[in-house]
Amino acid sequence: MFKNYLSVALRSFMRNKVFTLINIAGLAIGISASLVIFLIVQHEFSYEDFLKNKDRMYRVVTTLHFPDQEINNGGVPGPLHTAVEESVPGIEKSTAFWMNYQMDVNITDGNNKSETFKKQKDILYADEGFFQMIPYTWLTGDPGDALNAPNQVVLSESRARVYFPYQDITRAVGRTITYDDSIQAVVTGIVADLNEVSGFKFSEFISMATYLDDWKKYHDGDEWGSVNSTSQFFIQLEPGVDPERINEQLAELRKQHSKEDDVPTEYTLQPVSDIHFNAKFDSMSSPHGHKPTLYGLLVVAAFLLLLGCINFINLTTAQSSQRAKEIGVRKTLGSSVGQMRLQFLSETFILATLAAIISLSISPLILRIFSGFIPEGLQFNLRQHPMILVFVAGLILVVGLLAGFYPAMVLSRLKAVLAIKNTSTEMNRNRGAWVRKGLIISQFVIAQFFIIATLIVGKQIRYSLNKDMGFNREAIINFSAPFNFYNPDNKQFVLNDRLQGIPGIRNLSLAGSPPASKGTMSTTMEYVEDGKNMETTVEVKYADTSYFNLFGIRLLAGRNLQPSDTLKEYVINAFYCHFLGYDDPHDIIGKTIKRGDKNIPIVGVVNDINTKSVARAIGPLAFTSLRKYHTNFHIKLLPQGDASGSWNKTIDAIRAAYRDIYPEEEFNYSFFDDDIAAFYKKEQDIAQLLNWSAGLTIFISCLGLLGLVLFITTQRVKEIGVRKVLGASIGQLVVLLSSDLMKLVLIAFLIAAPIAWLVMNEWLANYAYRTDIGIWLFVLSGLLMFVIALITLSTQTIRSALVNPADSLRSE
Amino acid sequence: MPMIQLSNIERYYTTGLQKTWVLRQINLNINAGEFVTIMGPSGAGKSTLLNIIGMLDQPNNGEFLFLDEPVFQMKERHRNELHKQYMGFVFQAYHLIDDLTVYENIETPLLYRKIKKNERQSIIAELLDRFNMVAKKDLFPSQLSGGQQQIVGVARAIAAKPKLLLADEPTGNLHSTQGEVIMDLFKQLHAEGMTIIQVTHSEKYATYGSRIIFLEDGFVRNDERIGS
Repeated sequence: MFKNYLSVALRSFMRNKVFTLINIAGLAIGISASLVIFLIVQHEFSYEDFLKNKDRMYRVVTTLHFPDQEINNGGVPGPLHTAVEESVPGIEKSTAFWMNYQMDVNITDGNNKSETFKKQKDILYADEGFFQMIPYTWLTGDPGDALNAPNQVVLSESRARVYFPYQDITRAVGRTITYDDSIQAVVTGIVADLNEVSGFKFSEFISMATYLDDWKKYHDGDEWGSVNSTSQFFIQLEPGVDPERINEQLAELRKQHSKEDDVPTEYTLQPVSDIHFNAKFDSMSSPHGHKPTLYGLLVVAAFLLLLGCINFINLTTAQSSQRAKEIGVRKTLGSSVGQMRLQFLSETFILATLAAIISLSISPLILRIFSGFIPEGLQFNLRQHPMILVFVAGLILVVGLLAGFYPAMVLSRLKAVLAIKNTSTEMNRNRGAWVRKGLIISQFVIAQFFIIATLIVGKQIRYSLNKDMGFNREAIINFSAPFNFYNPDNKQFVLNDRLQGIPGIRNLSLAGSPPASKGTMSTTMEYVEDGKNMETTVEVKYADTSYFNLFGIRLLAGRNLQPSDTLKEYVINAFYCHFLGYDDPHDIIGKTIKRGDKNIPIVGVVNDINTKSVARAIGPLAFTSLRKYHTNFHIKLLPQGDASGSWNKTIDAIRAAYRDIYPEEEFNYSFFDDDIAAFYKKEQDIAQLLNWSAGLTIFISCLGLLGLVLFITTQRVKEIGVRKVLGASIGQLVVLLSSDLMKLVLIAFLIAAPIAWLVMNEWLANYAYRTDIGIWLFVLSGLLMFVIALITLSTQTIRSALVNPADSLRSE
Repeated sequence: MPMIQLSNIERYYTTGLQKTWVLRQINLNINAGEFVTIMGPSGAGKSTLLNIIGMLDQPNNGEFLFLDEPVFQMKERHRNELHKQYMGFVFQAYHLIDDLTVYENIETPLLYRKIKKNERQSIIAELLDRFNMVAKKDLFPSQLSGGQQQIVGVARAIAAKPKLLLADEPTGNLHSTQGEVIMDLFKQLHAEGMTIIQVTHSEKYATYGSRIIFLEDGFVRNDERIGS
């Protein structure tokens, strides 16, 4: 029986090639998008799933409660882990480790030949508890004592292969590695790379004892008052222990160890499963995931699938009269209604399966569309993700039912006696017409929504990029000199002098971070006047004498900063000036800010600048000069093309100077305006996703529209002929044929516009500085949709209107 | 016991406030083995009567006993079973399934009756042989002439060995030589014991049967047995 269904299905697909193509294309796009999004979402939600006791594992994190701000830190103070291990019961296992940003690694072989690997990442100082909690696979070495003495290191297999040439990598055990020219460690074990979705992926594990003394010395490692986010502490509770109880005991510990003037601080347990998505606290070896983005992706996938299914439903039910004869005949031959349903459902499943096969082959392409959202290390690989096939099978089932159920119901209900009447071609024309109309409207509501959203997001990005941030950003490059916190070498000043001589540089500043940058340095400042004490968190930037001039930041009152090696004076922004109660900036000059036991004078006020993306509101800001921390070069280039030659030439000269001073370092520079554009990476990603979503939804919807108009025009061929004979013009006929469907597009716009307005206002509310949604934008998006739909329809309506009535009215 | 007992069957359509009568006070008994021809002008209700007997349509009033079972009181499932077990249909417009070959068209009713594959094969082979269609078994309906299509239609109708063959103007779309081929087939089938009810406009083809029922305006005007 199934073979019978199958041959009918395939032959009818072949006979109706256009409709089949439209159906398959729509479904395939939906399935591919869902597939890729499934991979992304599954990946993102599977973080740390490999940990068997995941539900009992926690990270201890720190929250500092400043007067007007809460600062969260994924790390803990140095002494906390020993204190917890000694005094808090109910803990089964624990591990503390310190993450390094990067280290230079040196390997010397037996012949005293040494090789250096610069800036190696993913290096930890870990205690012996680490491998008890995180199940790495040991290729060689003893997890029991590989990290329990100073100067030991365990390597991941891939990292060991970078350093050592052995075919049998376990031979690397016993070799010595030198870190940052000062720390030595002997390889005591090799572990297989952690092939899991995890934030615990590291490559080198140096025993914690190796660094303990330096940690205390340089990182306040024995201070309760200092928290460093690199200092991680994980615990695994005994079964049945309530994490709230541990939180209480942590509070108790804090009380014992805090000093009177400490910022109120809280230690809490963060479930391991929360680390990947909770952006309040730092992540570990992988960047944070963003749940709303994932939900957005899921919505997009659902919409695309839905649109494909709608096309199928519309085209199938519209064509029902063409299947009517077969239905009637089959019923007289003994088919039950159930068997008819089964037949039509299986047709849908065959189609869905074809679509799924196609989508498996176009998925790599779709993967590229979503590149901005693809987590690192995620690939479309059937062998690596056999789950894909299960998911696709599930999708076929869902799509088959969603798309096939309604048509199967409608078709199987056709009355045999009506269907086989000798003159029954015109019957059933309006069956389900209102359902089809409703479905078309919903398709275009979705497409229209995406168009509006795309335009608004695009407008906000343009607004953000072009907004006057209070400083200049054109023709400025940035780079930083290497900086050793423990041992400042002051070479940056030498480089500064060298750069002065290069033609093509209009202006040069050696200072802290640029006016707008990713990182922030903030501090609490106290302003005392007339017994009034105003304490607030203020962002601090280091500037030299040419900084304001270079970036075009205007002094509203007072004078520029003077070079200084100590904290001597502040220039504040207008916002802070107003915040402290001065409307006229001139009045605040000479007033002082209390820093510790010193009073630092305010010598100038500059205009407000955006130090972050425009999503953030402007806040209090203070500039000061502290020359030893000035390691960022800001260079304003002369305009291209005059006597100084091109920017490339100038930059080459700067690079040469840099390499002279720092022969070991790489010269990395960036244009300031590019850096600012990079603030909006997330928005650009959203815009990209919306562009594609809008494009695909329009495409699928128009495919469906095309299918319907094709069908309608074939059905109305005689009517068109008659009208033409009666004197209708081509234009009138095109209007006649298009107007029904265009009305639906118009209704869709009327529904979509207010929804889009509400949703996008909500989205824009995230931005302190935002573009306004003008009426013209809605008009434009509506027109766009209208024109696209009209063009789609015209391809068919004009052709039908041009048909010679003599042909269409010829009686058979 | 008659195979079909119709008593006081009435059928009408309501359009707006108006009732349009199609069948009125039909009382008929048809025995197994009869070859009945229903005749009458267009709109007399011939096809409607045939469809009611074929359980494809239901009357507004009246009773229909098929082998003593009341057809319209039984569950749809049961009725479907009866229909499947006893009836074969031949249509004026052949109504072959366009996407199936000759072979597959004849096979379809057997599939709905869940007949095993080798049995199906032998039944179809026999029919193809009998109707001289062996060479055409892999062709699609559109590749056949009208007469050939109707032969396939008859073959399909009798494949499942129904007791009752219902034919609605089986020769209406055929020219006379093709029509005679079909009617000869019917005659043979009748001789083999099959009950046949046909609707036709042709006086000549009516004489192939054993009884002629004449309908007009929904009433049975005449019902006569003819010697053959």
